[in-house]
Amino acid sequence: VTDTAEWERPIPTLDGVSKTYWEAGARGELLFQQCPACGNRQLYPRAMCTACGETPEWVRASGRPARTPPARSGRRPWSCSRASG
Amino acid sequence: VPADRTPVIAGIGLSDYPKAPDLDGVQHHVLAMQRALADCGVKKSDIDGYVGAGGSGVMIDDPVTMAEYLRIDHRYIDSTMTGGSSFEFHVQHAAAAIKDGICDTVLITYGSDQLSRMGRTLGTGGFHRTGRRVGGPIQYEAPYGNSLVGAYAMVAQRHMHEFGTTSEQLAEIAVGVREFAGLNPNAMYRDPITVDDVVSSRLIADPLHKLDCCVISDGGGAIIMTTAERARDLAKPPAYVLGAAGAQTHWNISQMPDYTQSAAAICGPIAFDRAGLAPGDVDTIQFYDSFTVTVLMLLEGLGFCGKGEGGSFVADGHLRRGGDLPMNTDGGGLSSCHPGMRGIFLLIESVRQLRGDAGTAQVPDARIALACGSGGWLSCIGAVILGKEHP
Repeated sequence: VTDTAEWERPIPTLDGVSKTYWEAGARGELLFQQCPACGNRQLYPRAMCTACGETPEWVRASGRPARTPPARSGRRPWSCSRASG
Repeated sequence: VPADRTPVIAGIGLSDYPKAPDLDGVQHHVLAMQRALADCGVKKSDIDGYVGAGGSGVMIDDPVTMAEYLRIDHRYIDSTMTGGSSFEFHVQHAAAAIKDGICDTVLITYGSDQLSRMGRTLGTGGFHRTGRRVGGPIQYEAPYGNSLVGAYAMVAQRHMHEFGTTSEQLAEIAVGVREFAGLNPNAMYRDPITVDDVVSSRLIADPLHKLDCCVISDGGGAIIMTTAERARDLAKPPAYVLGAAGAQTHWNISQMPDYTQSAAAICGPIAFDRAGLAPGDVDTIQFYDSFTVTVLMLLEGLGFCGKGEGGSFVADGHLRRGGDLPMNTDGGGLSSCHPGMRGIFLLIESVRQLRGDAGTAQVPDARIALACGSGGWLSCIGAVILGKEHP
């Protein structure tokens, strides 16, 4: 998302936490968070762990595909097809 | 003998709908208040509590501004804003305040000129317009093109995937509500529709069609709550608040813990427990019908049918005119009136039914009514059980 002129969708307003997330995204990295105290993993990123309230750490996603439920065949995907321009 | 502080809804008022080009949002609040005062005979000077959620659109109508504008010198104020379900939460809170003696008479108002001022530019949920900057948690969804109707469509997709629910079953909800709209001269759309009309209408967000979606209208409503003691001297029989509860599972749709279960499954049992009632005791329901699937989720959550059984339940005709659980007897948001936050109309129509004032849409011998609002994206659910008789 470097060329905002071609981007037809809303643009994030960076805050203290999302700045890290989106700047990593611009480098081609997907970050999520993991709590050093309880191990909880979360996305979207927050200033605290949703499970225990401690401060979470950033983890870079491996990039390996996750196991996902099979899609319903014959239906148009819900997600927007033009998101990537 | 101590005063009977059982909380009741004593007065109700509607502004003009579905289209009122001469009224702005604040004027909708005012007109609805004037009609609610006239309805029950409460004087404005008797009001010592004000509750609202804003939501008029262009006008400034946040609760502290409205309390000043209406000149309500309150000793109780609540500005809970949970989206369309705000007013079910308001009744819960006001009932507790009245019962506790914090105040005696509470005014709740809502008004919106959404159709006349903004038209249908909202489209499928226009809060994510091109080039707009979005902050907070929605920034992790909006850039990917999600929309308001898209969020509900995800829920419908999941329900179909897990339980085999069909578009035809969802359409039954719209057909039944339209039948009641035909009885309401003010309803936006009154001509009968069929299941085929719904499923062959334009696809908005798969699997939701145009006729699975609520209308966009103008409108306003007001409710006056007080004690059973005070209501004895008023013009209309009160509707008793038997049980009220609300709960939240998420706000943004990406955080919904289970796409086939809403907070109705949490607050429903609490409301029924407080009322000492079960779903089988309810004579009529007024449910938030932002989309057909919203109704399905509330039915299952509140226990009117089992989880996953909503599709066959609605197809069996329970919710239709003449059924054993008539729903949205004013024509609902799907066919009559949805100015942005519909929750107050659910309560007003419940009271009309309990008074026996619903005309040709009257549910015979309606004694227990349940209003259930959904705010956000099935995020904040509020349930209010009202009764004709003193508990």
